[in-house]
Amino acid sequence: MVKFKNELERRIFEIAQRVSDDEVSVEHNKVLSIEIATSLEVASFVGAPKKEIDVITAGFRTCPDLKVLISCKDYRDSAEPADVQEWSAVIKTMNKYSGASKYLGLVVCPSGFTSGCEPWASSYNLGVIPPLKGKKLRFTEATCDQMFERFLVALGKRLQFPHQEIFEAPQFYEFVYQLTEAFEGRDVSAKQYGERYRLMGTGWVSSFPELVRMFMGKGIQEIDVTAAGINIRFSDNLTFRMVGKLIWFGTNDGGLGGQPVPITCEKNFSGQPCSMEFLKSLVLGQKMTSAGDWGDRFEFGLTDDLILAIEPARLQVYRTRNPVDQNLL
Amino acid sequence: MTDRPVLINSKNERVDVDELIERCRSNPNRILADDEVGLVVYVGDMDIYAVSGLGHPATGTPSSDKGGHWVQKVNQVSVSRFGSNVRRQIGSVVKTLSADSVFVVRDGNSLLKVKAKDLKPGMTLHTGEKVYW
Repeated sequence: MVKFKNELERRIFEIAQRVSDDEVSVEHNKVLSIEIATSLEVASFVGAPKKEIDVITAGFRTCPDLKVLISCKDYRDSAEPADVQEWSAVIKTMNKYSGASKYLGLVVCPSGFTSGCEPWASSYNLGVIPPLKGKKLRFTEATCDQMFERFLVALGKRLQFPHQEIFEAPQFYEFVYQLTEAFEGRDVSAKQYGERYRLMGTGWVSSFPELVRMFMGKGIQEIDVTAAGINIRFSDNLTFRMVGKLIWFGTNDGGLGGQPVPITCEKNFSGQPCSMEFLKSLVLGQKMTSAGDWGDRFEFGLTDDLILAIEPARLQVYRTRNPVDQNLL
Repeated sequence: MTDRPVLINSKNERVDVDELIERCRSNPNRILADDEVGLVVYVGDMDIYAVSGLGHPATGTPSSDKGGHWVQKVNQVSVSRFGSNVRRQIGSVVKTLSADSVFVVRDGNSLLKVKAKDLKPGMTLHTGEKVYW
């Protein structure tokens, strides 16, 4: 029966166990004989040269001589440079006296790290999760867990290639940073757009900017409306789909499903009724030049100065060419 | 996808990121991560160099000098799915940058990583270029 000192330790252990094929252990109050502080890197140590630590050790069957020693800091506030310095000394000691085995160090502190930690972590080749930033940021525990799992899975693959350089500062620090820094963008996007944008096929959270990048310059080929939603096929086998307030997009996944249903179609900004055939005759073949999301209404700017607006129960087309009254549809 | 790095090989030829990723996909172990956050591939043995920073302070032209500060051999290439662009003047050049681009700036006697969106007037990159706005 494995005992954990806190919830963070339990979560990290379970992720490591899942990723590392059970090549994982947790030890509490493990006694290390650490060098007496005679050099700069351990100068912050005070007290006896013996240090008790709590450590999760993760290994890989494909690389049995390498272990990742993980320190879980379940703090209310950000970790301080002393926490990083301490773990640096532990890793240094372990590498010095461990014979053939090599160790890499990682500190996980969901409440983050103060900015002063970065020089120590990079200089001593220590990974930190969440990644250090130029400003103070808070990630959720769930995001920190995902960061750790992403890093550990990637390291397992990375070790199947030549990896001697990963022991040279700041290569391992950089590796961890590279695997974790992009989570900020995802979390910011999820906060900004909620569940509105999803990628077809994977169901991954997406964003308005990603949609625009994917569809810019692509031509509209067909519009289908069924009881399930509105499906707009674009060139390059791309599909935009509005299902209620949700927008799914990406490579065409084969169809919307559901029985075809009529939908309200309007022309001009004032919203005069028109037929679906009329609307299609204007927009099919036109290429996307811009886009806008008004929350309950998504608009594609198209060539020929057209705008195609999509709402869950209405389609509208209008021309933006001036003067407006002389360019009505 | 965003944050496309500028890559070259040892012959100073531009390497297309999409083509590189497709080459990597032939060996699944090279795909270190491929999820909703983005893609990270191992390229350490593929003769790939990243052009970092902003290039020449006056012209913005990426340096092809591997011995200089602007070109660095890379082991992993990371492509993030999330990001936005910002405009910054660094040195004499105004650039459109991915907000998530990471720059190394001087901070006293140490170096700090700062994202493009967090660059502030008065900061100095490790290459010596000053951030004006």
